[in-house]
Amino acid sequence: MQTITDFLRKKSLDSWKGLEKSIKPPIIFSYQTLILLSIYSLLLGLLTTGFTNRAIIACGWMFFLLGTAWSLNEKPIRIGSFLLNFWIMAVLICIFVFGYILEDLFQPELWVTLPLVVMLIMTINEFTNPKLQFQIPNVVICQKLFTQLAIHLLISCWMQFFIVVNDIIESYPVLVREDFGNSVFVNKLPFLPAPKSRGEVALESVVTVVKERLDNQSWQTIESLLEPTNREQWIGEIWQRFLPANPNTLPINSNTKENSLWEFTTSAIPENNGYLLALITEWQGPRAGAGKVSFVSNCEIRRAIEPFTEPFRKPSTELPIEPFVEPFIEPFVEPFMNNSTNSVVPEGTSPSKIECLSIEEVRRNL
Amino acid sequence: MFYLIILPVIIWQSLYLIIAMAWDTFLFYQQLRVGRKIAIEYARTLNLFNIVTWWMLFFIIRPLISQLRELKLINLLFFSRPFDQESGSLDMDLFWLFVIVSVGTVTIKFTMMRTLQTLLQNFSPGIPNIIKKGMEYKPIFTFTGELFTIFLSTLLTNMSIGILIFLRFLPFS
Repeated sequence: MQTITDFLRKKSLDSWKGLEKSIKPPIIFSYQTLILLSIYSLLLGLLTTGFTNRAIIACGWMFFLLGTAWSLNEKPIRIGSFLLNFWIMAVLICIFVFGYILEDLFQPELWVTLPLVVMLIMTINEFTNPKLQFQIPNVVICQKLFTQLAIHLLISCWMQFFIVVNDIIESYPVLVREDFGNSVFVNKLPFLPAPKSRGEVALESVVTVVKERLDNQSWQTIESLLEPTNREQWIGEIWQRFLPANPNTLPINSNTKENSLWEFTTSAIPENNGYLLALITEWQGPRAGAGKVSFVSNCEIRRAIEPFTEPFRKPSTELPIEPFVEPFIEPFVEPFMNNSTNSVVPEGTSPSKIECLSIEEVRRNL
Repeated sequence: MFYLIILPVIIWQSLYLIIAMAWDTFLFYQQLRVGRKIAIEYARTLNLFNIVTWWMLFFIIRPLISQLRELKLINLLFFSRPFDQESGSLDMDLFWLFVIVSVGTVTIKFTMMRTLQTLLQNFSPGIPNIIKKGMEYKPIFTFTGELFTIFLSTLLTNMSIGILIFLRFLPFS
């Protein structure tokens, strides 16, 4: 029993000594000390909460970054002749700044910042000597630094341009459906599904509401509603209500600049037994082809001949006073009914029926 | 969510850089007689800084322009065609943009060249180091000013890249 305990103690002591030997820095002033300090800060941070936690872990990050920089300075990492040190340091710094301080690592500004950080580290490296004192490098290195600066700035600018074009697309989401084949600046990602354009989706909602409004109404109501100025006003209001709130075009936000570029018009043509109502929305903004794109929904409004209209007709011809009493029992009590001076209104009693065709895309050449 | 990638602009700009650097190197070497190495390095730095300056100006100016101008810009960026243009008439905005960019390129390059000369002190035109090899040296153009050289290289670069873009838009079918 004694021997087993001794053996275990000896083993654990040995392993502890081995561990100590592997992690103990050779001299106190070395990068291993900094790495150990960062691990120690991490352990301390686990015990605390709130601001103390954040401060301690930030200190740990600092120790880690300094330690990594030091170790990379002693043992550079290369691929071929390309030195990776500055890029590794820049990536770590960006992870610290964006991931820990700003708490949002995967934002596009990261790609703009990264080349600039690389450039900054490179410049600092060239302008200091091994004793960390300021020195001005010679002309050849200066020339090299200028070229490096320009290249990194150019990469940053490209990344910024990427952000800018995607911002533009968020402001004008209809452009996603257009053809980008001619462009010398951007390409569309080929495998993404093209969403329905906002105008089309808004038009669908407008058609539903207009259908509800015009269905099963008296013919006088229909005629009053389809009168040109009146029609433009109330359908236009519905259009203005539906265009901004557009859940189907997500993830694109609803409050965009393109709303003012959709031109909405209506037309109502009297047919033999009713009206042909056309709701048209036309895109006025940028487009790939020469023609203007518009979406059209054609609705046909007819007078329905239903059995309960018959009793109205008979008294209207025989007893002129009766129809004035009877229609007010009907639910549609609207102001124009009171103003109507027609004594005999047989058409006004028959309810309307509306049928809408599906929305079609029309490309009009100029 | 990203819908657009900027591969074409990277390709076209790299092409522009290669052509511009080639013309610049050739003309600095022939006209200014500064030696091969310096000519290559100056051509590289000037052209890179030229493009970076234009990008910066673009990012500064773009949020400030009116919506109509923005729509024109979008049509140019995304579809490479003028906006609401009647066929046959030249879009004056595009024309002025071209003029401004050309003149601005010459200005930026010349300013950058003077700055580099001041900072680095290694650029001294007029030292014909070809003569050392015993060859007879003759510049192509008799007028060998720095500004004229930069103007000439910008002109030649614009013509070359213009020809390439024109060829790209020809229908090959």
